[in-house]
Amino acid sequence: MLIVVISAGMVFCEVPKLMHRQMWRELWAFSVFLAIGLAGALALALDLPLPNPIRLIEFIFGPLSKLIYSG
Amino acid sequence: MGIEKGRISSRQATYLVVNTILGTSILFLPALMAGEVGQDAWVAILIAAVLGFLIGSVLVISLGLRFPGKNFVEYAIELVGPLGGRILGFLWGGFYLVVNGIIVREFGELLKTEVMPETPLIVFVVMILSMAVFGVYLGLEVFARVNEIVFPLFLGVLLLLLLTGLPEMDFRNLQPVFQHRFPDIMVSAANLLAFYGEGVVLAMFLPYMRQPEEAKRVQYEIPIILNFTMLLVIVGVIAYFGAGEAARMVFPTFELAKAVRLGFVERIESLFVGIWVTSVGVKVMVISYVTVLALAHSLSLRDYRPLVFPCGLILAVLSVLQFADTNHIREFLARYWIPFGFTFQWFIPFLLYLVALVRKKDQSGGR
Amino acid sequence: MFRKPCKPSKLSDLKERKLRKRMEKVQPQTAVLEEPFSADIETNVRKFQRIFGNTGDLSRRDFLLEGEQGVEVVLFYIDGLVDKGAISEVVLKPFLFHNLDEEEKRLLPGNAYQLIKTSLITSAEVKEAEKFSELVDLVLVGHVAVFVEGSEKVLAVDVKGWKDRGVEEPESEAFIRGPREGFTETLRTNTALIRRRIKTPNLEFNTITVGEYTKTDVCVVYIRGLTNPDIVREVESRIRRIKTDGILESGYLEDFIEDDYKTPFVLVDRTERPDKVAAGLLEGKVAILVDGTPFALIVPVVFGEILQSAEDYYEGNDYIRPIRWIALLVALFLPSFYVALTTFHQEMIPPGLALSMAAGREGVPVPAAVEAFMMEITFDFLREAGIRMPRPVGQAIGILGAVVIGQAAVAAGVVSPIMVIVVSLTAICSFLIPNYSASVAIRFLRYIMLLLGGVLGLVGVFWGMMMLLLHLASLRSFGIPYLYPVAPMVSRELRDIFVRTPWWTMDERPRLLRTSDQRRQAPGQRPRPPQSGRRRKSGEDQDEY
Repeated sequence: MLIVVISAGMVFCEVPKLMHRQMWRELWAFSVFLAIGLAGALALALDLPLPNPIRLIEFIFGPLSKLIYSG
Repeated sequence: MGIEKGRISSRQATYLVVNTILGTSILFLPALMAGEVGQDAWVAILIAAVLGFLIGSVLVISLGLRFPGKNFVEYAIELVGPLGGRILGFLWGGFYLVVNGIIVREFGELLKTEVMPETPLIVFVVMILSMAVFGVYLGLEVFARVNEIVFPLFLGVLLLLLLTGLPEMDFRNLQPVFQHRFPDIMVSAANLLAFYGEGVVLAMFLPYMRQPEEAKRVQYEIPIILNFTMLLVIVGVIAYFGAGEAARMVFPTFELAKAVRLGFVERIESLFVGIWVTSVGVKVMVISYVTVLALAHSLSLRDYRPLVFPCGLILAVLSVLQFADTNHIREFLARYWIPFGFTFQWFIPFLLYLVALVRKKDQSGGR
Repeated sequence: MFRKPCKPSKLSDLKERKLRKRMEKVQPQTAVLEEPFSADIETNVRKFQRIFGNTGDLSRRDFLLEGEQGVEVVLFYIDGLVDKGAISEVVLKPFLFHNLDEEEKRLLPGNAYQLIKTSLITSAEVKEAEKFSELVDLVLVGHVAVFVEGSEKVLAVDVKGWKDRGVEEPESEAFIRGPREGFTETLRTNTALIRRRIKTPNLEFNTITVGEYTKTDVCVVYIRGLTNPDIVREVESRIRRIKTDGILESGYLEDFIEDDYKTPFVLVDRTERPDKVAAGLLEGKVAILVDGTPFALIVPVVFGEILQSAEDYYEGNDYIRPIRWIALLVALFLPSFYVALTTFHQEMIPPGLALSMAAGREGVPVPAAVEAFMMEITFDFLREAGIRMPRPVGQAIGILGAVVIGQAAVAAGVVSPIMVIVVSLTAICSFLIPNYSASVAIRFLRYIMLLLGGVLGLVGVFWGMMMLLLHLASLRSFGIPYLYPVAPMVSRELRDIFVRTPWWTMDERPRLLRTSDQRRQAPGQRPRPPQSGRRRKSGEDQDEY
């Protein structure tokens, strides 16, 4: 709930400024990033499963890591 | 046509970078290094210092000076084409987003476990992030100035801490020297170097220095302050606790603050942590700034500010999501940080430097 | 990376037009005011009187100038704004007692106006008006209007003179050592007070009239060839932009020209002291005087200056500055620190003290944060009550406050004795800040810090400090960073921030003001008393006896 309120606050702060300055591209980027953040935050709050970037990193760099520490 | 209009002095740049590297590494590294190489940690630091200086001055300073007025992503675009440069910038932004998540989590954990156990983690995360978002929103100039005040304070308190601990330090703890195998020491040095890699953030604000020619001075000042402090802290911690005990601790520097007494006042760790909050705050600001600036450049936006709030939100999510607990952070840092950090912080600039050499791109006008 | 320049949007266009419309204020009776005078004196006088309506303080005096036919002359002036003695001296007497010679009498009918202007009026300052608006403006600032029959111009003679408070010692900035002169409500007196201190033709008073109704004279003061012209231009343009009904005090102006209205801190310095204004001008700053108030504004201002008092430079107490800085920190952080310690970090308090503190707090029914908040707000009530009261009542309130805060509350067990110490120490420290509005800002921020300390402990306090620093670092006053010279650091200039080193060390003006002449004085003027044991050169010996 709080997350939604904070996000709404962000939208109120940013959107009119961007509209006024004709920064459509910026507005677009803002919306996408906010959507990602909001989705993540809500999922986290509702205990939904989320992909963890650290697992991905661990997967990618796993072999390298083994190489270093075995040597 | 730059996004950032602010200009900083060379002193501010130095402080920013040193603070960025020291801010959290001083928290974790002593334990990590004590675990890896014990009392030989100082050797690893010396090795890392030399290597770091060489790599850093080549990759960051000379590459940056080849493109005056351009930051990392801008010259990446210049060097490997718009698409490649943007992908690179995006990867960089993503990398620092993840790193920032780790930093916030680390520090949040420290605050939660050591200072105020009843408070939920998310409170600290929100606190640090709100500070960072506010700072980044106000701009580079502003948090550079704040850091100019806060960083000497932080450094002073750190030194004071070591000084008050001095009477109880036992320098025999540093004795037998060279007990560890050389490859181990090298790995430890590499680990340190991966932390030093955070200094690559300098590539993002090198062009915003008021006197770019002072970059040469920055390249000496940063390693000197950095390694000197690092050496003092790690040697101090090991001398105080002994390598074995330090390795078992989660936050040895913090334990040191807990143990020393300052006149009639004991247990000054809360005060220490408080000042630390400011330092870590600036660190998170710097990294967030680099993140959003890199992202803004790769999306060719005209301003990075619209990204600040959403990125703050994403960061909050990441920092809570990424790790299960402190042990997980420790494990991740011990096992994956070297390849992960090296790839993004040293390898990418290295590739760019190679490209610059091969394509003979140099816009400095032969200075 | 480059983008097409975008066309102006309709949305913003519309908004702008609306804004412009709102800004164009309707001037009363514009039509009549812009008319020129006619040759007929009756019409002129009638119109002039109609502009003023039937106001009681507009006085009129008619008379005939001797001559073959006699020339009709009408005087108008505002009673109370003019010196009546001066009117009779410079206008009436020469008109009535001057004996015209034959030549003049012959010329009079056609050239009355010329004659009056050149040989009759004995005032130093005579102006000519060709339009009603010009004349009205002059009459309203204490000129007497001289309508002459047959002329299309009207004379305005300066006979200003009104009740004026004398130059007194400024009450809001009382000094132990230093000049006792303060500004008054009259602009001219104030400019003279400054001029008397800086005797250079380069000192400029640039007057701008602000206010549709009040027509207040606002004076931008600077030293030509020293002050950075960019700052002067910026100040003037900001003042010229103001379109409002009236400026009654420099505080109105302050709001209009401030860089950031949302901050509690002062971005424009104010003072009642001409010596402080002069010192500011010599540093390369710009002062703004407003007619009708003794408070002058000085811009730009930096944070360090709210802890400076002009007296620091007269009375050589170098250690007073560090004391003020400590006081600032105490005033801002002490209650929150205390609350954070007692609530979250008891382990930091030495055991002996902790015991006595716990004993003191025994029986206090509320958490420490609430207790501190209550005490702070009580004190603020008392202070506000005391300020507005006449002095004897104010003293009574002080005594009452001391009893309420100090004794009764503790005796009743509502607050702990240590809290009383904390609160009163904080209050005393906030009085050490020389700049009144800054101390109000600190007072306000203290509550926020208190809240943070009560909720999040020391971590919260430092978080608040960090936010505060960020805010301060983001402020600018006319282009100068507010935290300068601490951040961005100019170490050479710190000698006037945390301490005040002797004058001979401060050879240069603040660098960021970008004055045209950086040097303040010749370097190396450190006094060197003659050393005993070393013989002087023979040539200098003569002076010794």
